[in-house]
Amino acid sequence: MGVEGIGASVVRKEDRRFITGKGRYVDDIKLQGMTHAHFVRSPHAHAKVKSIDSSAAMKMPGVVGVLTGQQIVDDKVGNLICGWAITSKDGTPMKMGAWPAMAPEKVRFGGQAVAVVIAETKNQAKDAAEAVVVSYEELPAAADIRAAIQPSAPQLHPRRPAT
Amino acid sequence: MSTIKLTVNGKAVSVDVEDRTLLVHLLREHLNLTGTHVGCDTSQCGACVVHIDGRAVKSCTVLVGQANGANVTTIEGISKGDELHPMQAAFRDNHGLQCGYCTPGMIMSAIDIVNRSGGKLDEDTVRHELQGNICRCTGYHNIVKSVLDAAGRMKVAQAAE
Repeated sequence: MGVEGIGASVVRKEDRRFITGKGRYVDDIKLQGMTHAHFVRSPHAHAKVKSIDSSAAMKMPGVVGVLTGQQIVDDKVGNLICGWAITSKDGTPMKMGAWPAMAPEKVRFGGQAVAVVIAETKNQAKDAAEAVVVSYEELPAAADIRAAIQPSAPQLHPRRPAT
Repeated sequence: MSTIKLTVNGKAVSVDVEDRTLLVHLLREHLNLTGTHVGCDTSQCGACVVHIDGRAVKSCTVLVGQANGANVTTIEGISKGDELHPMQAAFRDNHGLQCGYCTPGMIMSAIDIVNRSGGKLDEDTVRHELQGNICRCTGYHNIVKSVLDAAGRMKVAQAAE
């Protein structure tokens, strides 16, 4: 205590707003006319997405739109980027499958988003999400590590086997 | 839809909301008190802790109807004007926060812990009683220090009143 310069404790400048609840995290921001999103998620761990019918959802109050994984592909938005390009001991680059923001054709984990409802309020988006009809074809899933490392285990990324 | 009447940080409030509305959303969306945070959707993280009738409660697990007629205090309501609550000051002085997201819930839980401690509080008890609050940044070390420091300050403040 009483040290100045090198070795002195420097109190943070930003703490006041955080300890008084006046931080501005993304969900705290309210913009005039903003809309809200609620995702439609797969109940299956591994499945083909056969079809998505959003016609009923589009008619519901406050709904602005329903977007799907296929539209991300069609609009050439691109996939999520993995920022950690590590290599194996022999220098081969890390094997990485493609990760779209929403699954266009195949769901690879339980809860993966397949569509998103945009509406004027959160509750309207939630209610409309329940009206989006998704048809899945279930595929086999490996639900623990021992099953996942078997040579016969279901492959998640056909172009990157044994990921 | 129902009309919910309650007191929030000392002010009488009356709002018309859908019955499925959670207290945390009433506070954040309808009353613009965004200091209380939603962290998990599973009632585990404690970022949503407020005081209802003097006790720490996870507001994400309370339907607005359950809070009808209640006295609610949020992180925005514990300082007196510019004067910080001893718990807030202790978090600042002991580097008890980094990103700050868990902090309002930590502070509200911690105040309740000290209130119920009967004037005696040790590290093991604090760690045990904070199990309902999760922090991703600090590793809890300085949070525990903050709570113990505040306990001492609150005892002094109570003795002075």
